[in-house]
Amino acid sequence: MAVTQAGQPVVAVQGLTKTFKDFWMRTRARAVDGVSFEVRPGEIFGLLGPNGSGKSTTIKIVLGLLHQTGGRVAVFGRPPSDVGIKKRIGYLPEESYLYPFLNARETLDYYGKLFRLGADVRRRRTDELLEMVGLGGAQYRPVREYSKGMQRRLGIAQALINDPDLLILDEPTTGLDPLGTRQVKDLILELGRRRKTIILSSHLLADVEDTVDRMVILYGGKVREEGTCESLLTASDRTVIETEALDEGTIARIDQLIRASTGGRASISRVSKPRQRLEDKFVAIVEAAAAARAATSGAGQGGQTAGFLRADAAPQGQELLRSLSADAPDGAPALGAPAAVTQPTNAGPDRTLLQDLAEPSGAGVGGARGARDAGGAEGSGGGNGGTNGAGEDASAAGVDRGLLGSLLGGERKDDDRNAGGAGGGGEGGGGSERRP
Amino acid sequence: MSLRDRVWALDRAQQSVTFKLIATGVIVALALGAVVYYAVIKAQRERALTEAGLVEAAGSAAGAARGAGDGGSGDAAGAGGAAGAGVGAGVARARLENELDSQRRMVEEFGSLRRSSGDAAALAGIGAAVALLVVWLGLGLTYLVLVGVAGGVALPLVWSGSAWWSGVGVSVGGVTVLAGAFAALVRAVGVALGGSGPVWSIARNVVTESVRLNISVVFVVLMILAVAGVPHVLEPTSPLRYQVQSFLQYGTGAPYLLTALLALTLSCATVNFEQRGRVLWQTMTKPVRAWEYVLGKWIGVCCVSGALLAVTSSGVFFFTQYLRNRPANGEAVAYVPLPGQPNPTPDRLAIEYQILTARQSRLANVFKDRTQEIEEETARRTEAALKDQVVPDSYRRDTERRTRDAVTSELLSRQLAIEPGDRKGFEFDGLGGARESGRPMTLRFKIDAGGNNPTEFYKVTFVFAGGVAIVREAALGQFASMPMAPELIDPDGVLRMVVVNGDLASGVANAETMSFPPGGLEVSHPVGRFSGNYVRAMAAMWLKLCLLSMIGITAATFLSFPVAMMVAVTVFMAAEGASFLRYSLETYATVETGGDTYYYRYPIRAIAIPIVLLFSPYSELRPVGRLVEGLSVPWRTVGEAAAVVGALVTALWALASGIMRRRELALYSGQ
Repeated sequence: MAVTQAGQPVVAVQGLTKTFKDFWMRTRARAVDGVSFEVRPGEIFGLLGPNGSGKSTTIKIVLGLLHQTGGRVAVFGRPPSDVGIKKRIGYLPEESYLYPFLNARETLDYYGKLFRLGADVRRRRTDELLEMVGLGGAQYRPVREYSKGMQRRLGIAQALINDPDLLILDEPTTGLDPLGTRQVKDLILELGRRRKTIILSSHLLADVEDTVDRMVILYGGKVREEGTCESLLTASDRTVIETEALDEGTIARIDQLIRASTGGRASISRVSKPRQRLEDKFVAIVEAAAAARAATSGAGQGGQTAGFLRADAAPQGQELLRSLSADAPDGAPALGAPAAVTQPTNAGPDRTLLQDLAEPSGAGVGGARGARDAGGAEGSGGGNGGTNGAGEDASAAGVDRGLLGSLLGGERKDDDRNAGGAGGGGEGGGGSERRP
Repeated sequence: MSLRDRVWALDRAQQSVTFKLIATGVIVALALGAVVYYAVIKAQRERALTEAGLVEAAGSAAGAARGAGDGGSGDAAGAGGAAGAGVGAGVARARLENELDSQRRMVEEFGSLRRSSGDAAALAGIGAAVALLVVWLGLGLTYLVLVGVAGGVALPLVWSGSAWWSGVGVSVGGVTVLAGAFAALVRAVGVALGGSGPVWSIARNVVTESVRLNISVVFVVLMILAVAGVPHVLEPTSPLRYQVQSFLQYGTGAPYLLTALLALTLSCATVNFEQRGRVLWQTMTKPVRAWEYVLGKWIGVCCVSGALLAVTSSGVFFFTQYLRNRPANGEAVAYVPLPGQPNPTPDRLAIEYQILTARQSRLANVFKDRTQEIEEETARRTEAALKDQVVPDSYRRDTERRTRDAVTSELLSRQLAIEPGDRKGFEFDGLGGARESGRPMTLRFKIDAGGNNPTEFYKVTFVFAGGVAIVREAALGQFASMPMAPELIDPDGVLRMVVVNGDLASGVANAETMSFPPGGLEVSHPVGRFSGNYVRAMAAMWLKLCLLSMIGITAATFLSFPVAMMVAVTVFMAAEGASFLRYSLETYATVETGGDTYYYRYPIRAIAIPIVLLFSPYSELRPVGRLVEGLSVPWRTVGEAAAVVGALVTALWALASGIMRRRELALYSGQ
């Protein structure tokens, strides 16, 4: 666990500037220009921006691979050049740069040794990580024979070999298939539950949106926006409602009701049928094939999160988590509280999530994040794609649940999913189609 | 059970402790059996030689010569006695006493070597060690299959009856043994470097990389092929000493050059490719300090070059011993001359006392008590040359230096030249150890006269203190040697000798003035054995490789691969040629005759002088050259080399670590 002093950010960047110069010392490019942000302990922090916006440069400066031209950077309160802090950092570059002549097991063993891990610890973690990233069956093949996605999986595994307090992921899902992408997101959330600090750099908006607590958006080497997903993404003037299939008459009655309730200020602007997403369809097919033991020379399906990385692997961590959530100020997300929609189980949150996601109305990855963000707040959903915190929004907008039930004309039993996802259908729920 | 299952089962079997213990017992028993068998064979051969009268013939030849010497009469010639009649019988007697005494000791030594099973024991010991290594690495059955396959290919070729195919078969066997031994040794090195922590893991990674990286494999294969192939380029009809010397020259020189190039390539590649491929990012974002990274890389390259050197040098050593145990010119079998041939034969004498030995040599001290004379003559000529001229001090110094060289050279020529029938005295000092050792010495000399017609022979008489005189006939322009008893050395460790240009016994002088070229008159005496000298020479070579590795790594920390290689190879060549550079710098003046100053020479001298100063100890080490010439490579020299190399490596390590720490590793400008 991080031994960062209370209140001290894990990463503090102040007025960071980086210019690249040519042979004659003329400024060729200003990659980072006065960037400032802080990453707090236990936070999943997003660095978002298009290509060339300065994300990777910032990360490399934080890691000591580049030297800043101006400004200050502190990691765990120390400068990036301090080798001591690197014991607590895991890093995944934007591409997996691995020794082509080693196999996966040798690769993890090598990086484990760099951290001075004992032979038993290395062996155990290697086994668990290889299983987790689905490379158990290809562990003795040289890395040069791996596909890009397999190399990416191995890169993720090496970044976790030391059970880092600070995990820096630069475009972690690049080159991964949808299943791998989903697993990486689950992993990030799992680590987040363990109060690991994570910096996630990406230009894939869905990756960031599904996982991060807070983010900065960079463009041209400057910070353009900074804040939580909630504050940056919530459209507080819109409401999305999801129900079972309705006929035209019912929809018209609902519309009338809304008009009446709001004095004509609001009405239904769009009605659509949810459609299963390709990603979910793909995951379902792969899972079915894996269940039928279809042969593959590539990466396997991957297993559950490595034992040493899971929340139940560190009881003291859980204790700390509980104490932190108990100390949380009013209104702040209750950390570590039971998830409302998709309860992440210690036995295998990713599998649960995948099963849910395979169903059309299943709670998505966002569900896990929603659970983490909003904790046990009733009605907070696992929504994604405009449904983050939709439950809260619904509540805030004053939608009458009793009225809704009567309009539906049934005594519908609220199960967890519905309760948690009043409008929070998740990625699989076609939330985007309901987006006004 | 499928074939794959069977292979897995066998693999599990060879990994088991039971298998390893049983295999260890079998290997030890086989090694002991091989030594005993070889000793029995040797004893049988000795008996056969005795029955054939060859061994006794050698002894009787010496006895007969002694008898002839005893039969001589007349006064012994005094040291420095003039050529002429009346001294012939005395000279003959003294010559024989000295030579026979030396011969007797040599024959005893050779008999001991002939009967010895030491080489067989060493070979069996090393073979058993490699086999045990293989077994305990869990590769026993794998290697057994490998040996079986290689034997299945090689043995039919060896027994085919065709010389060419037989050679191919031997090469196949040699390549298999060398490659197998190298693979096992590298694996063992990997196990030895298996500790946790950055330095050891990086070093081990380099070892793995070297085996799996194509560029290294090419070098390794080339080297093993070269070592296995060198024996086939030897001319079987040439005297054995030339075969031995050629094999040693190419067998150690070529692998050293290839290993040096491998060390440079690997050291540049292992650092540079990591930067270019950005693998370095993932290593240096772990808790790895720059100095740990550099040290780990260096240890890895040193281990690889050491393993390669150990395997190739072992192959060369044992083949050299095989050559040594073949009959030399004039021998019936090794160490036993044919009836009527001198014992030892000149070929055997050269092999044992000049090549496969560890000798120290002393040149005649011709400048003793002549220093003042040289300085006075130098001053006189310099004054004459610069008379009435106003010249810069640097020009005066250059002139003095050149004049001194000329005076010294003239004196040397005068001292080493002898008129027909005339004589000259020479002294060799620092031979106290040789006198105490009691082992025979050799006098090595080369005579120049007229046009050095190689078909012309001169007779020269060497007269020592106590009246011992030896007459020798030698071809002009060719090195010749003769044995000498160590008792000829005075108690103060000085060998005093007078050389007569002619045959003192018959009183016949040669036709023309003769002279010894510089280095053409030396006394050498053994100070150790070839095997020990070989080990020290290899240690010295490995030290040189260690320095080269650090040069390559340092260059690669801030240069792209091609540029780093170019720089590293240039430094390698400069280091190897530092002695030559130093010699060249002595005549590379910045101010020439007439007082003209060549300013462009200043920077050249400024660059060359530090290189010469830095690398002179490296260059003067010359382990291959000394080994081929049979000159001793003492531990002291190896220790001094280790100190110098250690200092240079430490300085380069600090430099490379500093560069690595300051560099922006995410930038690579060497594309």
